[in-house]
Amino acid sequence: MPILSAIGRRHWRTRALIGIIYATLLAGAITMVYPFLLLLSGSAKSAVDAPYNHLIPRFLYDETALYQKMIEMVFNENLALLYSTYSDAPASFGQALHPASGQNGLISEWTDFLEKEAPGPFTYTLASARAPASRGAQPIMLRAWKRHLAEKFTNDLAAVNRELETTDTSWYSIALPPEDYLVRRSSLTETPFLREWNAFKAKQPLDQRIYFSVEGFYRNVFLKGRYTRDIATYNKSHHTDYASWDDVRFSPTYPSEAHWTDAEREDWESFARVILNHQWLRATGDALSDYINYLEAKYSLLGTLNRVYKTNYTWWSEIELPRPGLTEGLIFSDWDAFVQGWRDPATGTLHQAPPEGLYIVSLEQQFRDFLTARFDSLAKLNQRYGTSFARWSDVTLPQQEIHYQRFLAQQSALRKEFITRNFVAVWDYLGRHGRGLLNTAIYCFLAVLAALIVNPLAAYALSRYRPPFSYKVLLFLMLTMAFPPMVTQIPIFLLLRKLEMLNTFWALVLPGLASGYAIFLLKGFFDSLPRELYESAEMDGAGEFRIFWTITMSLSQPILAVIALNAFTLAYGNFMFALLICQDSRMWTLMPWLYQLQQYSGPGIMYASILIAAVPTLVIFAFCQNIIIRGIVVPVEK
Amino acid sequence: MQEVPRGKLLFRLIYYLPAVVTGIVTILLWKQFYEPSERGALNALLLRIPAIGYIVLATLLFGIAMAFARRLWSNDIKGVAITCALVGVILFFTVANIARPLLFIAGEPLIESLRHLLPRLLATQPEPYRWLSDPQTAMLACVIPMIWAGMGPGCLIYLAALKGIADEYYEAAEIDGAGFIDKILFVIFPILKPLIIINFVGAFIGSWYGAEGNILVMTGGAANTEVAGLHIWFKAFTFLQFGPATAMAWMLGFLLIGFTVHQLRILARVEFRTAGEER
Repeated sequence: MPILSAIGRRHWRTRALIGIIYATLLAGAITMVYPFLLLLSGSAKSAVDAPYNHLIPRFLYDETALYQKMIEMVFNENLALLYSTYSDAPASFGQALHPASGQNGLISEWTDFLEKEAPGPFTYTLASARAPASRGAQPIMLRAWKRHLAEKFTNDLAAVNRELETTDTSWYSIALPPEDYLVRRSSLTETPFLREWNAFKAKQPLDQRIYFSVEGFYRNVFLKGRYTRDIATYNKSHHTDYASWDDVRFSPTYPSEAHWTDAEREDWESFARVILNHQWLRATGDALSDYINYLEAKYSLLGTLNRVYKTNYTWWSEIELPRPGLTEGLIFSDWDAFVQGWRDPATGTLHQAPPEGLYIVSLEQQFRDFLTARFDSLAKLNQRYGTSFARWSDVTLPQQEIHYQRFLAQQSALRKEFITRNFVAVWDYLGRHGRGLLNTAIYCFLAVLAALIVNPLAAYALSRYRPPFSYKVLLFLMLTMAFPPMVTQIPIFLLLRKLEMLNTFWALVLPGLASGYAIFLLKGFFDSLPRELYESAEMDGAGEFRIFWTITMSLSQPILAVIALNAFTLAYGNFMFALLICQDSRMWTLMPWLYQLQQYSGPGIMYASILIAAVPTLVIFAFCQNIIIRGIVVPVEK
Repeated sequence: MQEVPRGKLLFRLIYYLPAVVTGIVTILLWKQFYEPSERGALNALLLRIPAIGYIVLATLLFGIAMAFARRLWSNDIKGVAITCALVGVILFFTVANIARPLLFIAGEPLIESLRHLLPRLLATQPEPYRWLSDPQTAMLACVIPMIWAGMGPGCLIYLAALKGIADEYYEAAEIDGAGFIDKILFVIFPILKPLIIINFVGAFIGSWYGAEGNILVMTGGAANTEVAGLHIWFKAFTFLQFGPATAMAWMLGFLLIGFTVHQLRILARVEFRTAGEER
């Protein structure tokens, strides 16, 4: 402690000075460490907590925050799906509050119902399968899907593409398309991909599924989308006086009774005609005569219809309504036009399915029918499970309760999942996307090897034989440092191109093979080794290489360690030049891959990738700390 | 770090930490912190600092510069003393200028501003910085990560160099009545001068030559950050005009040749020792 005098250290001024030094050091230390802590906590981010910068992620100690993250994951970061599934859905995932109790006797009834009725693959979607808002995260079901494909097709992506008719360029880029089988535009045609995916879906447990709720979709997405979340706005336009959205009823058939208003009828009709997917829509015999009239108007001749429909009707009256479950073809598209309304271009007549001839099937209704068959009356159901349903329409699918039960049972597993999943995604990206890791390892190894062979050899020659032009050679070598790197970069690039070495390890290693600065450092170091050692080695008959290896090299370990470390850091961090001379993505090292990942990833993935990229340098620092500290070179006046 | 009685090892470890994150990764990390909304890490921090915080910091920097200037003046090194004082004034105004819009609202009479001065001292910045898209902050935003990453290892080099200074120098200075600042000015500075100059010239040339990668990743050259190196890079490898690009690179080399030669001359004069040897 030389600057501060040993005398008078207890004086208040000296103490204050030390205090200020400590405060400054502490401020500096915080500046150094704070970004790391943010990096660490940020690596667990998803879309719901991406805007917040907490040093300790909230979901680790706050149950509500964990629940919000889980709900976001379960609903594939899709708010519309949440709105339609939960009866009292929050406005955003960040506002989700868990229900008061996860206990609900209906869960067992619901399980029984699903076992017995086994609704088709298009009536539900898988939870935790997509993360469009978190960008780049690989939720648990997507990972399971990839594992499934990898096992089935023995890691052969080409086979996956061939068999499933997909076009994925890498395992990492495999993603699942959004499944929204509530809306009309979603096709139910089973492609090879969908067949495989549906079979996979069917094997997943109940708490990983989200069954589509037509009633929730009608009220929470369709009506609220039209009339805002404010029930007063709805009441005003519908001349109703509902106290809350919960009172707004859904009718499976056309609401023709007198207690419905015209505006409600109009909503129902446009929902059924245009919005709702055909799998939930059925027609009664009432629609048949209009349907036949429509086909007659459209095709005029039965022969034409028979030809395009590939049927052999002899009378128009033989025509039947299309069977439910039809998803494609001309009959289906004609039916769709009939449901929506088709205007005859010749006469201008509108042909449309009569609203009374349409009805909506929903899982809720089927579940209620199931319960009615089992309990006869609502009172018995209420008595059996201690519930207080006033009407059958109050009974909804107990999906929120199922998710909450899963939440209660798997809190620590969920925390672990959120902490690790971004790392898993980055690892998956780096490991299965090109050869980034291997290229980086090879490049770093070669760079270190080259630096440890070429530089010491040059320095040894200059130091041992002391040629008269030694100083000039050294100056010449150092002069390479004086050129702007662009001056050398351009000819190097052109030269490598001419030698057809672009996109090879030669291109990466050769330009940095020798370093003027390293040779300068090594020469100075070798000069300081005692001459007597060389003389005695020569007397003992040691050859030149032996002298070089056993004396010079082994005595220069600290400086060699520094040079190796520098070579490693330079190679590992090489981005611009590595990208320039190896533009083929098969030759990319880690840095170009990370740069590319950053282009289309959310902050969580970015932070995780930065942490993973820091691991090699951190490990080297941890193990070589002493060498680094001892190897710091300080210039001293000669 | 040299002077504190306890915690040297810990500070040394912490200060080296940023060097663990290399090259482009540093930039990517900071790019995340520069998110332009009020929720961005850096904005969230700065939006909490009240106006008085900047004033205190400005005064502190001014005070330090003035203390150095005073010692220089009393040792009859007047030119440097004046420069030092000027630097202090510039530092004061630069830092205090951040707080100015919070204290004096544009168009408001001075009397009115002074009347509201006290409550406004606690006011914070009204809106977040758009770090990378605002030309006023973009360049600073490109430089900060480099300082952050380079400061730790830099500190360690100076620490190693400080250890190499013999205690006798300090004792002699003390006998002559030198204080804390005097020892920094007249013992440490002259001895570390080669290191400081080498580092300065190195950083100077390095920033001319080696900044293009970082700026490319950070802003892509937008918001007035297209530095010479990046311009040459674009010219050569985006527009494939190798000839003009090489010419520009040579021009840049010639402009900086003085510094390079100076650096080489110092390098030829000194010899490098690893810090381990000096212990």
